[in-house]
Amino acid sequence: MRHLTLLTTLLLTLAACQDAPPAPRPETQRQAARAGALADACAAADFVGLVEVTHVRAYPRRLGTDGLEGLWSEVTFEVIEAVADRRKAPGPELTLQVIGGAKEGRAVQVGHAPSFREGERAVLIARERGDGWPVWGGTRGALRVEQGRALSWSGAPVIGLTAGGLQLAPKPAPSPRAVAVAGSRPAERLSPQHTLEPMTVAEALAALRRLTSPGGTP
Amino acid sequence: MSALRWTIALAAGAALLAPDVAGAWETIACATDPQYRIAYPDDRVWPLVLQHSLPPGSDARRGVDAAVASWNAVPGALDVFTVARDGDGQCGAALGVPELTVGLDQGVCMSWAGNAWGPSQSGTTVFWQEDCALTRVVTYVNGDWPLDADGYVNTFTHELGHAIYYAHNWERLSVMGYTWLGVPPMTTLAANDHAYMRGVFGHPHDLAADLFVHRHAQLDLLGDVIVEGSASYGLAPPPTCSPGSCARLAPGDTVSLIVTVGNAGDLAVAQAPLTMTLGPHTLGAWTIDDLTPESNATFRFTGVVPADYAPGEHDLRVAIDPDDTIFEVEGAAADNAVVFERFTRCDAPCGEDAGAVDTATPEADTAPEADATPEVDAAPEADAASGGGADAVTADAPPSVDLGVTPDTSPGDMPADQLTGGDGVEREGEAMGEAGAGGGGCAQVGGRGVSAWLVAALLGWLGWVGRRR
Repeated sequence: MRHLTLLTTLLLTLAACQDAPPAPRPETQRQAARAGALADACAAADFVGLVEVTHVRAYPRRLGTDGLEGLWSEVTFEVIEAVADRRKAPGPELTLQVIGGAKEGRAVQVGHAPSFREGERAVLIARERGDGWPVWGGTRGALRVEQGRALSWSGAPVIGLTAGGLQLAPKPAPSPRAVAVAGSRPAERLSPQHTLEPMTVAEALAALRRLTSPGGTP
Repeated sequence: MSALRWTIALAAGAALLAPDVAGAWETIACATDPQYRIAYPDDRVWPLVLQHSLPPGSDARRGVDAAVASWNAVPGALDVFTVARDGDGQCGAALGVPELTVGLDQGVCMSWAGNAWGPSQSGTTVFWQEDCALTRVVTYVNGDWPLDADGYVNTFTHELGHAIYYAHNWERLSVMGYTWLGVPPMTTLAANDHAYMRGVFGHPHDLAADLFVHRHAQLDLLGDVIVEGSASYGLAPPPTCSPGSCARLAPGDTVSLIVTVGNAGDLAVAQAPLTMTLGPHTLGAWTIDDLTPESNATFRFTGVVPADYAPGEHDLRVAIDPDDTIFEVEGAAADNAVVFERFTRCDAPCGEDAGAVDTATPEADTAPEADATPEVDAAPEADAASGGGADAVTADAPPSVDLGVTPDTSPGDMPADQLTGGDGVEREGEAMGEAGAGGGGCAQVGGRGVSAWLVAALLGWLGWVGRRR
């Protein structure tokens, strides 16, 4: 009887081990967090396309429901090329209310929010909404345009626009090297495998067009 | 005046930085004149006023405290942060009052981006400025954002970095980058962050090195891509073993892992030793050349299990300057070692082919496990898991004792996430779960050994019963 109990215990333990669900892995969570981020944004956006800032007007407005007095900006854009335009009243102009602003030497600068300047061009992924954050992901959905190339809001070369988001190519920097001693194997210094050539604006718009089309993923 | 300060800061930064990393960080530009950076009057960072949303003892408060400690711990830079007042109920100070308000907010003080429009923000810093001089600064962390203890440390460190003019840094490994939701974030400052502090808030000091090893790396070095505004760095995968499983290593097997090594100090190190050890066994030794100030690089190191390897319960450790031969200062960077705790585990039978077990006496084989005294062996893990393991595992010496027995093999006790002890040694508890027998569950416990042992025990019992009959 004692052995039967032992056998039962062993079998139950083995069965429990085989049935135990695998713990979630960071990679899985990471994939879940990023999957379709930009594609979803493009699908939800009121406007996707190339614009030029024509007018910026700062006006006083509080932060939060009971916060400090601040400045917001009404930014007017000229639509140069629309990839997707789902606004209630599409037209040659696009107007967004953006948290933060500058007026007569004074400014309220909100971290992670874009601040537009008259005359600059940008590729926008935006919604007409009143919470002060019309651009997708703060600054993620605003690409700067310089010399016909697409740069991220921080000015880094954009090398890809995929369902996950903007892909950047940082400049390489010299750094330490490792030399094997005592019979160890050589260490492999890891280097990025990509080009530094940023996308052209036309390429960026084409990629966004594919993302905004049903089922399209570049 | 602002221009002068900016010029002086840049000149100081350029003088202090090695050529290869100069320009690896940026300050936040003034909103009304982007050729200048913003600045507190006289460049003196205002003392913090902590809102009552940060009660002592809360994770958020511990996050603020850790962030303040990190930024103040950079050798060769000013202690920029002090706490002036606690328990404040205001969203911010009046304009011109030199106080930097810090809090946890759920929409009362700050208009957060809605979750319906892509991921919301975990935190933000707002600057009121007049002719580029700051007149009010507030830093809020989003109370609706799902942050754990490390998440608060990371987010407050990131936001307080903004509060001292430090702009986002997607291009270089930095606490001013992001990682994906669900990936353990950086909780220490990177080499670039030290460079920033010395460049903008530096003061005369004795030059010294500050070596470190950690598992965070820029995404483009991990076979991924940098996605601005979403993720610039990630956590290197757990070690891999070949040809077999990390759960059953044998002499000649290789153990491969990716770590970032560097020097957060401002004194170059021509050569630094780096070792990979498994308990008392050395799997590999390397020399890192040209560790210039405030630099880092990411490597894949592959060690070989030596011929005299004795199976047992061992930590896998990668350490730079393991014998403390290089003079270093203790800054805010990661420690000198990455430790994968209990990388090899030893359930009875240990180190033997499971088929060779005396199957006639399975009770005898389980006895050591049942009788194991956890007082000595379990304590380090328990302390490390709670973040208080400052003395539990020494940072610079491999374990001198082969633990031999497993104090507690319950899979539920395997820590699932990155563990960082109070001494700053990065400890990993996931080695067996991911690199071992396939990711979690009972299979972690001894890997193939347990299943083989159970089958062998069953066969032995059947044989014994058969003989009895």
